[in-house]
Amino acid sequence: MGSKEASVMKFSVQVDDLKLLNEALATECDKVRFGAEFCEWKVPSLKTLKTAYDLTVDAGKQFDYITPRCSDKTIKRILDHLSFLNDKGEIKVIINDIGFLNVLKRYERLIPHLGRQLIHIPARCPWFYRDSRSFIFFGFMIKAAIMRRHVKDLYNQTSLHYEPTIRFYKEYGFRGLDLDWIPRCFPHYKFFVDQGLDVAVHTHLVPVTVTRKCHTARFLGEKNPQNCSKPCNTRAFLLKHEGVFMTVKLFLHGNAVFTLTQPTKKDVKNLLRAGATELVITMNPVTNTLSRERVNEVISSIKQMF
Amino acid sequence: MEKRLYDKCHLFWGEVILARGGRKRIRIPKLLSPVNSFEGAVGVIRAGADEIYCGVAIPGKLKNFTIYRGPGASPAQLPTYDELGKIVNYAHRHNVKVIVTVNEPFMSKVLDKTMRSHIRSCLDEGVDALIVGDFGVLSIIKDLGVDVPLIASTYFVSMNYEAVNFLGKLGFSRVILERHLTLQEISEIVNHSNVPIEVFCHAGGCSNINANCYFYHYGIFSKLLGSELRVSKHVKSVIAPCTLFYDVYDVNDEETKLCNIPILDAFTFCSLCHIPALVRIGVSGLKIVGRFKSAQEQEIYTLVYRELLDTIVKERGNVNNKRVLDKIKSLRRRLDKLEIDRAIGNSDEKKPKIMKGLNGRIKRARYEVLQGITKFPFRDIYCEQKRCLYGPLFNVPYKHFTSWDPRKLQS
Repeated sequence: MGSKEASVMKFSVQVDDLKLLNEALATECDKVRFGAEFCEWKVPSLKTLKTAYDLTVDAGKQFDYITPRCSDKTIKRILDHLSFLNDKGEIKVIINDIGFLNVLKRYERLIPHLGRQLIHIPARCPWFYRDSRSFIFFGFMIKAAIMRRHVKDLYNQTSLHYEPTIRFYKEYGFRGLDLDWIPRCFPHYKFFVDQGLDVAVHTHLVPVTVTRKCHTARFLGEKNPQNCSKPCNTRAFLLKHEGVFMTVKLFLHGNAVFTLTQPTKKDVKNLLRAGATELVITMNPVTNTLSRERVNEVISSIKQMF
Repeated sequence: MEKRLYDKCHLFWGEVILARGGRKRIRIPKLLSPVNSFEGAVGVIRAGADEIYCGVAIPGKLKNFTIYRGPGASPAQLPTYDELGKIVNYAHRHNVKVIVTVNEPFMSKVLDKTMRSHIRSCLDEGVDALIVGDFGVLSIIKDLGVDVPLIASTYFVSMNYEAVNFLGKLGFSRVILERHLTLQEISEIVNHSNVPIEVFCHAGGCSNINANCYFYHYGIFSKLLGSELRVSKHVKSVIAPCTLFYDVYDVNDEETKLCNIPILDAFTFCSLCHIPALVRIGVSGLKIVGRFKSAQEQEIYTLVYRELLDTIVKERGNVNNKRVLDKIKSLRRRLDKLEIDRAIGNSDEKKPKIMKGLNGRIKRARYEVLQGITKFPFRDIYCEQKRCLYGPLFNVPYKHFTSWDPRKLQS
């Protein structure tokens, strides 16, 4: 694969607290994303954000800020964060709640970037693909298999594979978007590059579902979201369900459930071909990327595949 | 006699009534009921729905494209536009509005032509409003110059008043809120937004945020997972994959199973006890979930909520009145009766092997009804487990029925 495409690929490390940030800053990454992607109770305080920003600038890395879906209480806090960041200059803010679209025009210097939760990708379903295959497996549904060809491509697309939707977001200043490591969908990611958007792809973890009734917190007996001890900083769980013919394997981390995909050489090449410019590595206990060494290992293993 | 009572109470639809002994005015919310057949529409209109909502399967090749419940064919959709037309005629004769959901959170170039003709066909049948869940679909609607009111679907995940006001600016005349909110959060949104707010009030209180959930319920694989339960000969109930039992392991130790529980199950079902609070907050609509339910269930759910709203009207909005609270108790018994009827209808029920979790509790309640052991299945399944919509976020329904100690796991 051409080194030209590989050279434009940047590595981001996504973290939600200062301890992990210090680890992230010591890695070979190009950028750091700070903030909570899924849980509004993990949104940092303004003071923490200021410290994180200063640390990142001192380390000579680019600082991006990520926000989750929020209730009124949290959105008010985040608006203070956006004011602070707006004063600092052109900073990328990853938006996961449409409420921010109402206020974005107040922050002219920020660069909005569409988060994963605002993009619908049917291929995130852990069994839709196997569903379709099972139609063929059972043989008696030949008609369904033929029909499937007409809709197969739709399942691999996203809710943004429609120019008016892209135009809509562009009107609000969006310049890029976050997508998942779903190799079947990679050929479709080129559409966004053609539309002039920056494509960032999260490695390893594909979010299957997100809740406000945090499954981890309930499982570990947390009583109140405001006083949550945030056990998800260090713990994650593997969930298995034995079906009649198949087993579902999911990962529970905080208030989100993921499936895990391991990057392969072929996938990396396809992704470069699609024109993605950023790979996001989230520091989390599922992939055991909680230290600088582990993150560097992941970065170098992917770089070797270029 | 019942019919006369409802006719009388319908005079108060959306009316502002003066609370007894106080200055505060209370608006009685509209009741929106789901339908998936003409029979269902007749039933819910008879039961007192102010508005009904339904989806229509998109004909042609794309009927195989099913994300949640559409646009493909599913039990939740009306099969044809003719059926929709029949429902619209009947509803309009009874002064009931018909809303059509075109609220897939997905739009693609491939769907463009089909979606345009789908929307036109629905409008040709005379529908009164559209529920929209995607900015792409919204652009088509604006392109077509549609002049019916638009309702923002729960797929926009409106969880704050900035989101609601944003959707209002885009031309939505009503916004349906996300289910995962507390009463306090709903109150804050209602107080700060200019757009009328609707909330779900019964059934379908998903464990996860709907628009971000990819646990698709339909399809062969979900059947193989055992996530589909046949309630009776004719009615299938889909048990969501989030309510299934999972073997739970720590990611660092995949050898030691911690437990086998429905760990993703935070499913809520009923908001009967919260209706007085929702009325006081000032929501403009209460939406019953259940386009895939049987016509009988759709009618009974509507009847139950209609009776409660009518009682609140009769009490001039005094929602803490003892008569309102008594009414809630009696309505819960009505829901118990529905569960009993369903159990009896499903007479081939054998003793279930698993009796834990939501699925197990449903099976057990039905079995016990048949054996004459329990008289209150609804209470046992939902009330006892506190499966209330808009309750505390970290409620733990499954906790009451398992033996593990969360404190051990804290370490």
